Amino acid sequence: MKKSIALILTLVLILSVLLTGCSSSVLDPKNPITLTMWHNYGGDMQSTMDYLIDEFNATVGKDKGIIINVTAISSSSELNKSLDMIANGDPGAPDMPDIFTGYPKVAIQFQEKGMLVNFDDYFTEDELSAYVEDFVAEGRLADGGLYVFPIAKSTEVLYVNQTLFDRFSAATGAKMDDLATFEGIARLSEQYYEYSGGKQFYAADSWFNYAEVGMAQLGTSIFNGEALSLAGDSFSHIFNTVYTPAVEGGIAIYDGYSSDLSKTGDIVCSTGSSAGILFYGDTITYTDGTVESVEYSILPYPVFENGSKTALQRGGGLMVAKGDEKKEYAACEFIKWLTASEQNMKFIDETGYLPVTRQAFENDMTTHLASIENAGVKKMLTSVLSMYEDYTFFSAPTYSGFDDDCDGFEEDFFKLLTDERNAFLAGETVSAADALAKLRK
Amino acid sequence: MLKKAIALWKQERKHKGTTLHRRLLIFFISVSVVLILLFTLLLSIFGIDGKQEHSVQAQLTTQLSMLADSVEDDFGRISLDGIGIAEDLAARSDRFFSDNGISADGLQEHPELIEPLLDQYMQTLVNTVKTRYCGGVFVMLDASVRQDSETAKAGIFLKKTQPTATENVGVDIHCLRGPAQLARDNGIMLLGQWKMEYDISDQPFWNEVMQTARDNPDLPLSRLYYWSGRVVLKGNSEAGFLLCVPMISKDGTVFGVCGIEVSDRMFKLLYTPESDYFDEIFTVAAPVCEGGICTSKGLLAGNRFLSGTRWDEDLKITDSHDGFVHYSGAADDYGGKAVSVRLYSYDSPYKDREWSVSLLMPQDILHNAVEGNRYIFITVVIGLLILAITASVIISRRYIKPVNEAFEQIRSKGYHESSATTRIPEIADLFAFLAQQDREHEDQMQTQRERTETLQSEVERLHGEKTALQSQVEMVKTDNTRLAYLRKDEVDPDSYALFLECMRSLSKRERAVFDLYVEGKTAKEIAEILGITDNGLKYHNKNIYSKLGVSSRKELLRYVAILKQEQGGNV
Repeated sequence: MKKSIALILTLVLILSVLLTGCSSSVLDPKNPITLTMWHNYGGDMQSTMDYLIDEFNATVGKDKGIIINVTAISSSSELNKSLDMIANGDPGAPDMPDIFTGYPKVAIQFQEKGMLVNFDDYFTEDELSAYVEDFVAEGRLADGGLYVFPIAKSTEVLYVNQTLFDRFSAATGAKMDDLATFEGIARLSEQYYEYSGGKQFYAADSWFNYAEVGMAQLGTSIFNGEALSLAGDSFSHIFNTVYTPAVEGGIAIYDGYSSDLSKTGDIVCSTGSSAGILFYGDTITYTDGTVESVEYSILPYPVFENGSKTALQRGGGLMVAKGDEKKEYAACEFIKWLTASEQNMKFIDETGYLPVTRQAFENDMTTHLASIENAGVKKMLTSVLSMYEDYTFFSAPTYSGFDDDCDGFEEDFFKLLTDERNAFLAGETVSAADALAKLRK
Repeated sequence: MLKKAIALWKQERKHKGTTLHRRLLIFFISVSVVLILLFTLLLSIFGIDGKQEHSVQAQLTTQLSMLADSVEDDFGRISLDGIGIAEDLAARSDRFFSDNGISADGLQEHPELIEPLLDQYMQTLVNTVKTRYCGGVFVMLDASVRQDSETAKAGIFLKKTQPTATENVGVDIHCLRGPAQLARDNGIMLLGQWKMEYDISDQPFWNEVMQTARDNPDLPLSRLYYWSGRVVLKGNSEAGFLLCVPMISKDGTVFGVCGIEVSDRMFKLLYTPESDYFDEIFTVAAPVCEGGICTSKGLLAGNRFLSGTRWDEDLKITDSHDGFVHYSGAADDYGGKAVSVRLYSYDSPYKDREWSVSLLMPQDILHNAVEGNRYIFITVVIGLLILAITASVIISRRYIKPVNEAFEQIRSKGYHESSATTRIPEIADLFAFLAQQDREHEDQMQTQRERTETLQSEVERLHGEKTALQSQVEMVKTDNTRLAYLRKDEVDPDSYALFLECMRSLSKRERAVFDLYVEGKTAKEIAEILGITDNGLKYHNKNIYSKLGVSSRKELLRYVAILKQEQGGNV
């Protein structure tokens, strides 16, 4: 009798110790844990993300006791502002979400303060080996830890309003081949400005990306350690290529996404993220309300003459706030599900992003293309896959001052070209060399 | 079969009776079960039975009350804001019309004035969208830059990506509808779903608001605003309720509609219920329709529901008698609480448009929540009963064990005063008593044994005396025989022969007396045996003597002894 009681007590003790020990990692479906999430997949991409999150909540999340609650859907820049406030502990800063999207440059400030989960702690090497190595490497910060988990990647491509270009080509003999180089685009821009009576031909979503990738194409780098270096002939060439058409009006200097200009037929082509395909649409609306159906072509990212075929590999990832271990574990479970091949392919079908798992990227994509219904997405992915065959991809470096350097360059470049354009329109004498000198200052 | 078994058991019990252990066990079980059941009954009477119905009712009622109040207050405030915007835009329009020498209803003839007019609105709209909780603000004019479409309407729709942000930081405004250049001039980016103008072909709220305002020219704006059900503008991906206020020029022309959007995400951010108790609970605000609520025109807010646009079914009320409202949908059933909210004034043309706010959850979750810990309560009661029965078995067994052992000791006579190790005084007393009894019994037995021994020695002594007497008798017999032989020699043979001859002449009675003499009986004994008097005996003696020729009893006895000697004792 006494032995039985002792045995039962021992068992109860062992069980209670085991259960207490495991409680931090085991989720309870009866008491689900709610994770707040911010992401930047808005607009047409929102419904796809909503669908995936709803599906997770209703299936795997329900079984495991995880609820994903999206509390903010906004643009990357808007999210960055709020995240900056959180990282700096600004008064009135919102609560830090448990999961959020962002770029490595955003992650640095959180990682330095120990506010981010290192995914190496929750993913085994086997699990990580299922993802494209370069995509994973992009999320590793200075200490080698993986803080930004790849969810979907993109590169930059050239969007061409084929309808407008064909009209322009028919009238002037402009060739599509010229769109393969930035020098060719610059020439066409000047030509188009004349042809259209003052309309722009080309715009870039990011002039920093233009310069950064251009330098890489020309075999050098815009970075000198953890600072920008605008010196050298290569940068001069990059600057000079766009300076004249921008000042004279063939290239748009626009503080926004070039897809905005495309919607109204104000430009013919633009470089931007391959994930921006959904923002272009298939019509042009003119100021008189006339709507014209147009067709877009997606071409590989242009290359400077005599430069190497290099393009930017971009696309943020997911970050998880460090804190409660249960929440960290739950967040990683969600990310594993979201980035699994099936969900990842569903996401790229509707958004035009590139998948991140090796299975999806290296095997499924090619065969999957035929089944994609969205013609724009299909066209874009075909072009991007061809780029992956003969382009070298370049990832922006990650250092704490990168974001400021990037924004600073963008602001300076925009202001300089706007001022030069205004001066030119005012009849003042402008010079590329002087302008470049101003920029370098 | 069972009846037979029970009958057999009863018969057996009647025959053998019930053991002490069983009696004790039944007693214990009965007492504990009755106590537990009484306790359970008492708890039930006071409502402590694990059922959470009252608690769930209270929680839902409280939370719904707060949510419904919030909805009513917020929607009321938005209505006032919308009226303010309409008045402001109408005033700006009047000035614009006046400055451009046109009337409100002449705008369609001057499409080149539409964008400048919209430009007049931009500041008001931007300020409103930045400083208010909203999904967006909009204005729609009864005019279009397109002359070829009756369903195209010019206007502006500004969307806010973070509906509950009201600071400058973190507030991004995008243009969903409106002239692109106007948006760019104001630093507003176009949304992916941007279109220049509205298409009202499947947006019934437009005609409803415009027509109602035209039909009620005397009513103020505070009676003419209208809340649309869930609307998704053509090409847009997000749904929302639209507060629509007609824009009326000072000449009474209804020339457009403006308002504020309560977007799907704004509703979710503001009205998601606390889910501490029910993780799948959600709020629904929707117009009331016949027999239920038009959830297809409503918005939802809950952790599990990111987007209400995926819910396209209406819910029908199936039951509301238990204090909860139960709805059935196409795929699932839901239950919870619902309350009406008032969005319009009593004299509004839309006063009959009833809206409700419901706090719902899947029916099975509500059921489980109401049942609460009832199953645990029942399990605990059953567990207590099992525990009580087990305890009864163990206690009764432990209680009866020393008694049974005592019985066993008594049966085996193994008890003595010092063997009472049970520490039960009654048993110790019993053992002492039995030991005393045993001692007394032993004493009696000893006395008996001593008496038996005495008697046995007496018997032995008597037996010795008997043996001695028998030997004396033998000696006497021998002497008699010897005397008989001696007397035979002394008796005259003729007299003896005569004696023998005359014996046959004795009467029956005389022969009986004679035989008794031969047996050695005394005269007294003979008289008693034959029941005759002494004189009677003497009479018979006289006759016997006479007939046998003897003169005395002594002579007679002498002849008899000789006779017996001759005949081996038999005469």
